Amino acid sequence: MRIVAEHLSYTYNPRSPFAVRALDDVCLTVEEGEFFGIIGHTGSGKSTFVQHLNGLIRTPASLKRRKRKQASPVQTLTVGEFDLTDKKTDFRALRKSVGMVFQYPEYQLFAETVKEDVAFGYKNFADKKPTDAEIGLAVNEALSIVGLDPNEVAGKSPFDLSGGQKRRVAIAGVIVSKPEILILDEPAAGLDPLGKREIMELLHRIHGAWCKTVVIVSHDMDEIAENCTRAAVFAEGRVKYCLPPRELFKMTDELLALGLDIPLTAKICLALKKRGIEIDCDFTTEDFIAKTLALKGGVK
Amino acid sequence: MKEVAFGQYYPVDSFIHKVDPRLKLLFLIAYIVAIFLAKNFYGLAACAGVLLAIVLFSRVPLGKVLRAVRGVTFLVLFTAVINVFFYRGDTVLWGWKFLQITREGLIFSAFLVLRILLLVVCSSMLTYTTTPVALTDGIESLLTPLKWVRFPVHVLALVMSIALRFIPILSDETERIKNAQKARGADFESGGLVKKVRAVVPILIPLLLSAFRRADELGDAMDARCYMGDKHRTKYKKLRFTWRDAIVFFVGGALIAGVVVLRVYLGAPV
Amino acid sequence: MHAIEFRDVDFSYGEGGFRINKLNFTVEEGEFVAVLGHNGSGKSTLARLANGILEADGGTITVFDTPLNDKNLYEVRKQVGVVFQNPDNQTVASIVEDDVAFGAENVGTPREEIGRRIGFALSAVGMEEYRHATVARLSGGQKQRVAIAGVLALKPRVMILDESTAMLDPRGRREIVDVVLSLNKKEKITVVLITHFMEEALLADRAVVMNRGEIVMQGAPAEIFRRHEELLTYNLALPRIGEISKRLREGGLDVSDTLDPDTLAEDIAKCVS
Repeated sequence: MRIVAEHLSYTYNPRSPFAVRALDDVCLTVEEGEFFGIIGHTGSGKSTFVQHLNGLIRTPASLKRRKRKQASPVQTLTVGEFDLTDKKTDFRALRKSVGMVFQYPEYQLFAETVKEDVAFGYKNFADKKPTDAEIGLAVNEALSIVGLDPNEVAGKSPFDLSGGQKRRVAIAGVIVSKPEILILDEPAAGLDPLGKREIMELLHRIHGAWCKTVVIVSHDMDEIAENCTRAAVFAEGRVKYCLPPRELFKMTDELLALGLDIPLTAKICLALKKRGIEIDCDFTTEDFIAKTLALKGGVK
Repeated sequence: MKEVAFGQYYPVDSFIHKVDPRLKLLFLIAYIVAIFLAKNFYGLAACAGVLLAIVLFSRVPLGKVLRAVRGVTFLVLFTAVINVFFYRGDTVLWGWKFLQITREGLIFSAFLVLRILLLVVCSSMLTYTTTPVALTDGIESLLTPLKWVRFPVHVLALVMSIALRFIPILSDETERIKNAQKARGADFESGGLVKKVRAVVPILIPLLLSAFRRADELGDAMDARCYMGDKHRTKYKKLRFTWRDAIVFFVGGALIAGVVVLRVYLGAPV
Repeated sequence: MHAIEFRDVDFSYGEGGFRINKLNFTVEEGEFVAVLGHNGSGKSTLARLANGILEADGGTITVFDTPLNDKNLYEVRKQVGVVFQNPDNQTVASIVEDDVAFGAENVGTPREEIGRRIGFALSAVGMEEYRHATVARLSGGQKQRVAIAGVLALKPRVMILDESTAMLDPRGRREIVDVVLSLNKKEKITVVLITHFMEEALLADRAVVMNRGEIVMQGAPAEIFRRHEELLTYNLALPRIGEISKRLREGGLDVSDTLDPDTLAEDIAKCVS
């Protein structure tokens, strides 16, 4: 499933004194199989964009028609076969294929046991009523892939778990319906460094085995550089850049001008460049170290 | 990101917006009294005239004002129908079994409808032109005399202030949790009553937990800032009357006086 | 003078819960101390004890030579301000200046003085132009700065930030760190910054590492971060840069264990040319 957005615009509270233009002519394609990153400040439109992807925010059809009359470009948004600007689209089927993990997802847990909570999505999306055995199997699988021991946690109350564990239960509750695309809004926010690392490892496990495409929204440039195939930079409701990290983080000045950070590896590369040493790396720690060490070999 | 258009406040700068909230509250009370004192159309016309002036001076668009009326359409129609058919008058225009329409009935129901409309429009002008914060300050200030009878005015004011602060936060949060559960396939629209009520559980529980957690943290933050209740407390913001308030005070007083005069000299509508 | 002194402090959240045993900890006047530790290590308990929100089961907590007790609780709270984690859960009023005034009102400050303090506090956090703004419309970093201003209006001598940057985006985090540094340097306010961002700890005079309610490491931040293996045993990761320089050394490049990207680049340049 590909995500294709063309000329997508969205305004909150339109035609009122509180109107806020959140998306402004966004054009963006995410290919199947990508580990895609979305970068931008709070209020840059990135959250509004990802909420469009499973129909939580919809571009009103009336707006679409009106736009057409004005001969301005037609807004389109498709995810695989689903046309999200069409009212008749089966949004339940869409949401089954596009999983969405919100910021601080642990705050959406509600059931008495971890098992029940994780099963919530599975039962909602099942075409016919699933048997207990089917539910049990799906829940166990989902818990295992997020790195929790089903035997240990399934029967516990989700509120008795630690912060990091709660978050994983919440993620399990989304991936339990095996979505093709998994979208996560700042999956590592608020966790300590170790917790962050564990979450990113778990996302890579999911990306390989469960969900073909993973999209993360993140403020952490190191996270983007280490993990993503491509990343889009949102600013003022528009997509400013959409490039692989290798090229994106060469645009140091442009990113800093937007008030964004650059990864640590890019900072060191920049400092090296000032000293006449150019390292052509993809800004992952591994590649940076390999290239830097090779530099020494080259001199020898 | 998403702005919550909280309450009905319409943010423009106008004469009416700047009037002291206490006076606006008092004026509304005076206005309601005037409406009920008015016994004939002349009195109501005076009230309507004043209200029209308020609407014009407030710079709130007319469409917005009329929208306030839309909410009470049913009440208005109901009142009108009941009174048209059941008011017993002398000049029968039309009759069928126990139903009859009289000239007096028509006039009387028109009178009542006008009353309701004026009432609704005037109260919404208060909320259109006064921020919830100013309104709270105004209420607190007006209630201050109740301190003498040990009424906890300060606590009430603090509760209102915190509620105003947290209503947008919690409404955002509700939206977020609702979206998160929708993304997990929850369905809040279809099904019967029982199903709909059960569908609310996945929203309600996280929302309650969050509200408790927030309350807990807020309590700590208030403690840390030396909150000890009303004791030794000073207040930074004081409302002050200005020339605008004098005008409003004068208009309010004149309106009541005028209506009383009209009532005495011109008699009932029917 | 000690700004805060914990002597043999015991505390527990009841049976089977988290506990602190005979904790000793001091913060000098004017110091900037960073407290590190993984989630649940007890660092937030420290903040709540120092300000009397939690009561110790044993031992003494002294603030500027005054032992904390029930009678002087509010006097101590005036001196030790705490800013918490969630920017949305600390404001009582909808308008910035009303919220900043709250603490000063609580302790009975005269009206004119409150006005002056609001001005001072908002300018100390760089939010003067937002004095009449609605809190709900501010960014996370701005809300947190308002929370700091609300504490400053009480004229505290110590400011404890209890993971106040954890929920902010990088821009918000920078704003808070800048404010904290200037409060410490310009206003001479003693700062205790509780955080799990290693990069923030680098700016402090001293770093303290907590694990299971105990202080397990303390010293200059750069020195603490040199002790990689030890940090890992307390479930703390090195700052990323420490990891990179360590890997480079293992690969045979003779770089120092600096925590500054520019210095690291300098070292690399020296090694390869």
